[in-house]
Formats: sequence, structure tokens, C-alpha cells
Amino acid sequence: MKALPTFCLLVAAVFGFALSAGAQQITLKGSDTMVILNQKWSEEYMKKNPGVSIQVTGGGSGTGLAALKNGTTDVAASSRQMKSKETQDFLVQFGGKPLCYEVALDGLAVYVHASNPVKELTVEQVAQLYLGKITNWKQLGGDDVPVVLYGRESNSGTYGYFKEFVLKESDFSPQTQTLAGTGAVIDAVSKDNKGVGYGGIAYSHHVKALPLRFDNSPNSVAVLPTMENVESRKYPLSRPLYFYVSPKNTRPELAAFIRWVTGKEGQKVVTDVGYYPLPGAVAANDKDKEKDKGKEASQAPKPAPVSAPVAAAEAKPAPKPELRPEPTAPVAPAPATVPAETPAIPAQSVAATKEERPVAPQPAASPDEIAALTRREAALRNRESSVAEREDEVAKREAAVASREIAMRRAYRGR
Amino acid sequence: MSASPKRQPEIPPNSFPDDLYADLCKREVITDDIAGRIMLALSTLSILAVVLIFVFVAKECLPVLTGQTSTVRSGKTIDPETAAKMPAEEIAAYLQQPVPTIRSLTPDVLKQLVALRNEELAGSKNSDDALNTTSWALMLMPHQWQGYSEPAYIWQPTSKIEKYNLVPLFLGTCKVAFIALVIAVPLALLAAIYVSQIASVRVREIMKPLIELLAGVPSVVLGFLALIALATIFQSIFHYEARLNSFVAGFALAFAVIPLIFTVAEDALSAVPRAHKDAALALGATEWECAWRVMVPAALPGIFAAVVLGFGRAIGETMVVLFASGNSSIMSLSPFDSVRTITATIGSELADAASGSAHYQVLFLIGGLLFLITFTFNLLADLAIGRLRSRIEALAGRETYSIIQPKAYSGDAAI
Repeated sequence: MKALPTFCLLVAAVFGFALSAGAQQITLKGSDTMVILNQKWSEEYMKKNPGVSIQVTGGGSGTGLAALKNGTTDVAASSRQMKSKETQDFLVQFGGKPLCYEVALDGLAVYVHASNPVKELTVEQVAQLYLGKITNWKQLGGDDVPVVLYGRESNSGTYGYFKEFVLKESDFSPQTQTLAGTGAVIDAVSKDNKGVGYGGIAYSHHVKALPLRFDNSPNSVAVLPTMENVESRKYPLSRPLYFYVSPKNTRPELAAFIRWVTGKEGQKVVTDVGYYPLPGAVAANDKDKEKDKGKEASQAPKPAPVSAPVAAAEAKPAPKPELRPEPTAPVAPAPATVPAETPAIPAQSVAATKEERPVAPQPAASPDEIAALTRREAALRNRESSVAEREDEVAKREAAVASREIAMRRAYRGR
Repeated sequence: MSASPKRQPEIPPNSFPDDLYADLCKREVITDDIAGRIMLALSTLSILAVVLIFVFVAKECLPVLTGQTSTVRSGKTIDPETAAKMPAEEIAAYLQQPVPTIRSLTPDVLKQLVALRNEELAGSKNSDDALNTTSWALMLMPHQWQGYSEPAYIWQPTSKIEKYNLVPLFLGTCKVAFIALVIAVPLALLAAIYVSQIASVRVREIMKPLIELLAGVPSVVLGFLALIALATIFQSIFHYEARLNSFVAGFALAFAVIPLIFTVAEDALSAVPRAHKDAALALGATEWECAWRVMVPAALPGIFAAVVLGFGRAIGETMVVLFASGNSSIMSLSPFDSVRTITATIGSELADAASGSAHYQVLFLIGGLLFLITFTFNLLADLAIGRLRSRIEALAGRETYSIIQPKAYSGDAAI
């Protein structure tokens, strides 16, 4: 009879826990490119806020946005902008456009096998490759071998971005092999000396990312997707990564999470994972403004004449600290207003920065770039060491379990 | 209850009281009755489920099947300001949304919707705008699309002009299934003959469960193995261009098919009466002659059924081909080119096709066609097996077997 109250208590505790966990749960679905970033974010955030549980799933930007429309996810992570058709469907469903937050920057890198002798490409050449017009590496100054194209499935935001900004909405060559996930593309390219693939910069292991230039004009320089080049949009395929949220979803923990992601700590995670932080925390729901920015990325301002860089370099860091919202700033008490209010301010300030910051051309491997690369390397090494630490921990735990088992067996035999 | 008076005389009169016996009989009848009814209900339910699935698939693809879906874009646009005053039917047609949905929207949302739709249509100035790409002519015949140099079979459902040519997908599916069967059928049948007829008891006890264990390997594991290991190994042997192609996919698929064909064929061979084998051996046949010329012909209907089942599995398998086939929808008969199969297409594209859209309906259509193919094959195979069996039985009846053992043959050799 004693067991009954204990049992009841246990059941109550379990249910209570489940309920409290349910109330604080955030689901985050979408872009495969962003999956590692989302996981790291949720990991860090859950460590800081034990009451909140964040569920991360991939599946592709299209899948995430569809889930947002169907109400099966709180946040849709997307590596491309919402298409007009998707916005229309969303409007019909919810009576309002979704809120859009920029959460990180990424350079869409074009990868080849490490032994490929090709030095650099123009965006036009990349397009020719994927349209099936260039079929041999010889045409680009490489070896006399055919080109094997690797790409992503059509539900991928990377696919959508590439199709819009590189292929200008033309069809991919039917020869393109479509693989599930950027990881699979990188793996295929790393094993195929004739291969070419594209994907987020955080995945560049055992493959070579090619420097890209806008066109053949003499003042456009081929650059690697380093932090500086992506932030200044000098790298042709610089793109923001987005979170989309329903305007009807006004839960305070969601607003808090997005504020944390775009804030200082969240942006530090971005750097750790290998993507690039926002130049200022940006949150904008004005789609037209976003679109203009996208066009700017693709058509690209021609780099300014060579005399400009000194002034530019001095001017550049100045606006940053002002733009970044203070993480300690007082939080608006009414949760409903938070997502709606935040976008208004930074959206304008971003437009302002765009004008203030002239684009400085740089040689292919400037000291800046090298510094950025070393920083990335350090970040990668950090990650590796943390993995090693965790492995140690697991080994220790396993040893403990084994010793306990031995002890139990001994006790059993003793009996 | 009615059973008790009938059976009573068989029981010795004083073994136990009559009423107890009646009770027992009653209970037995009731439990049997209930069990029978439950089984009937369950089998009816499963048949109902099958019918419901067919109805569901047919319902989703019916508009395409009957030519009611249209992707035609007319050149005219609607002014967002006047949209609210226009008839709902006209707006609904323009926005490609159902009429009741449009009626339920506020004027403000409607205005935004029309503006978005205008923006969407403004981007496409294409000579193919007026085509309905879901018509049967465009889904089965080659067409010279804008931007292509010659008429071609193109599957590009996420393009601005959606292109739904089914021929490359069917070709790909058949190619992969054919390669898988060419590899799997001889291997599986030889293994079945060896294990059931020639191997010693000890070898059989080891080999049979080991081959059947292969059936327990999840197809996603096979696909991953093909993607990571097989593709690299085969490329270094054959030096073909595309790392992932129909040969790699077919080879991996063969591993999924072998255990199925093996198990069914082995059962069929073991079901042939022992007398056949003894007779052949007594007449001086070697073990191999006995297996090849007596046992295999006797088990032929079962072996045929095994191959048909294997074909069904090969054509319906998704994960292996999704991983290992490269997924490029090209028209080529070479086994070393990438292919895109129907199942992989459905698996990768259904998640981001908006429900009710033309893309969604076409995906259901190819799913339905896939079902039709396997259904037709199974039907034909069933007929063939029936004829084969009656012919063998007739043969057996006329000749030796009827004298030795007239009854043993009737039906035992069937699966």
C-alpha cells in the first residue's frame, strides 16, 4: 500500500515535467545548410536556459517553409528568401506575411577536387558549367577531362539561391547529379577529380573552394569567401541565412530565442560553426528591401577604384558597434510586440550602412584574408578539441559502467 | 448449442454430467465464433485500407489524368486597388486559389495577394507561358523549350516553366531494375539450387540463415554503403565518368533483391517431393543433373514467382536509388550514366510540393503509374505461373510420375 502514493507522485512528476517541457518547446525546421548551425544554437541556448527545449530538423528550406505554412514548426530556417508563391499561400493561411530575420551570413562556395588545377572562375563560367555549356575542364584551363556536375535536390534553399542568382532562373543541366545534403555533395566532390559542387562555406573539408569574380572586367578580382569578402559583398555569392516566423506566433520564449540568436552570444556561435556573423544584428520583415539587397549581391557594385581602400578600411569598423543591439538592453515587456518591433529599427540602419560602407578591392590573398583564414582554422581546431573532450568523457562513463557491472557480477556470484 | 445433441452418443454416457458437457461445447462454439468474426473484420479492414489507398492516390492525380490541371499563364494582370470589388471567381482563377478561400479573405489581404501575384508573373516573359505543361503530349513527347537547342525530354518541375516529362523517369526506373535483376537473379537462383539440393545439411544450416540475414539489412544502409564505398571502388575499376550511376544503384539494389528471390525459390525447390530426387538418383543421375533437370523444372512456377517478386521490390525500392543513382533525369541507355527513378523523385520532391499544386498531382500520377506497372506485371506473372503449373502437371500425369506416385505431385511444388 505504501507504493501507491509514491507511484502517484512519480506519475504526477513525469506529467508535470512533460507539460512544462511542452510549454517551452520550440521547433526549428528547414535548411540543410543551416542544420549544424541550428544544432549548435539550440545546444548552447538550452545549456543557458534549461527550461526550454529546442527541436532541430533539416529537410531543406522548402520543406521548412512548407512546415511553417502548415503550422508544424515554430521557426523555418531558410537559406533563401521565401518565393512569391509561398508568401501567397502563407497569406491565405494566416492573413499576414511571415516575419523574416537575417541570422547569419554565408558565402556559397564553388568546390572542386583538391587536385584540380583551375585557379579561379567568374560567375558566368560557373553558370556555363551548370547549364551544360562547358563540358570539359580544358575549356577553363584545367586538365582534359569531362566535367561532372554535383548539385542539390530542388527542396534545398541552396539550390534555389543558385538557380536564381547564378543561373538566372534557367534550368540546371539534366546531367547534374542531385544529392541529398551539402555533406553528400562535398563528399562526392572530394572523391571525384572531375567533379564540381556548391554549398555553404562551413562544409569545406578535403575539397578546394575556388576564388570567384563577378566578371571579366579588369577591376573585378577573384576572391575567396572569407568573412571580410562576404560581409562586404565583394564575394559574388554572398547570401544571408534567414529565420521565418509566423506573425501569429507570439510566444515569449520564441522571441527570446530569436533575440539571443541575433545577439552577441548567438553570433559568436555562428563564428564557431564556420559561418559569418551579421555586420549588425539585422531583423527585417520588409520583403522588398530584402529583395533589393539580394539583387545587389548578384549584380554587384563594381569595386571602387584602387585609391579608395584606405579611407574605406578606416570607415568600415566604425558603424558596427553602434548597430549591434545591446544584449543587456531592456526587454520589451509585451511579448507580442517584440518580433514586430525589432525589425523596424535595424532594417533602416542596415540600409544606412550599405551607403556608408564603400567596397574596397583587395588582392587575392591580402593579410586580412590570411588573418580570417587563421581565425577559421582556430575555430575548427577548437571544435575538434571539444569533440575529443567529449569522447574522453564518454570513455570514462563507459569504464564506470563496466566496473559497476563487474562489481554486480561478483556480488551475484558471492550469493 | 446445436452441436451437443449430435455428438452426445459418441461419448461414453457416464464420463461426466450432460449439462457440463453442454456448457463446454457452448463455450467452445462461442470463442471460435468470436475469433472467426474478429479475423473476418481484420481481413476486411485490410482490404478496405488497400482500397482507400488506391482511392486516395487516384483522387489526388485525377485532375492531371483527365487534363483539368493547367499551368497556362495569361498575360493580363489585375490592379491590386480594384481587386476587392471584382468577382471572387475571377480573382480566384488569377491567384490559383479555391473560390471559398478567396471569399473568406479581408480586402487588405487580397490586395497584398494580388500585388504578390503580379510580381510573380512579371518576372516571366517566356514563349512557353501559354503551354499547359501537364498535358499528356508534353508529359510523354519531347518538346523544344525556350533556352534549349533541340527538342528534349525534360523533367524540371521547379523551373519557372514547370516541365513534367515522365519518359526519363520511367526509363531510369526500368534501367535500374533491369540491372539489379540481371545481377540478382542468377546469383540468387544458383544459391537457392545449391543450398536446397547439393549442399550438405551442415552447410545448409549455416548458409540459409546467413543469406536470409541480408534481408534484414535496411535499404538506407545499403544505399549509404553504395554512396560511400561501392561508387569509389567501381569507379577505380571501370573508370567511367559519373561516380554515381545506374550500375552502382543496380548493384546495391541487387543486394536488397537477392534474399527475397533466394528465400522464395529455395522454398519452392524444397517443396518438390523427395521421391523425385530419389528416383532420379536411382536412375543414375548425378546430383547436379538431378537438381538441374528434375528439381528445377518441377519447381519452375515457384522460381518464376520469386523473380516476379524480386522485380516488384527492385522497381519500388526508394532509399538505395535515392542515394546511389545520382538522380539526374537524362535519357540514356548506358548503364554508367546517372539516372533518376520514379521512387526517388517522389521521395525527394513530395515534401516541398505544395499540396494541390500541379507538381503535387503529377507526383501522385507517377506513383499511380508505378503501381499500375507492378500490378500488371504481377497479374501477367500469375497467369504465366498458372499455365506453367498446369502444363507441368499434365506432363507429369502423362509420364512416369503418375505411375510411381500419382498423388504426391498435386500442388506440392507450388510455393
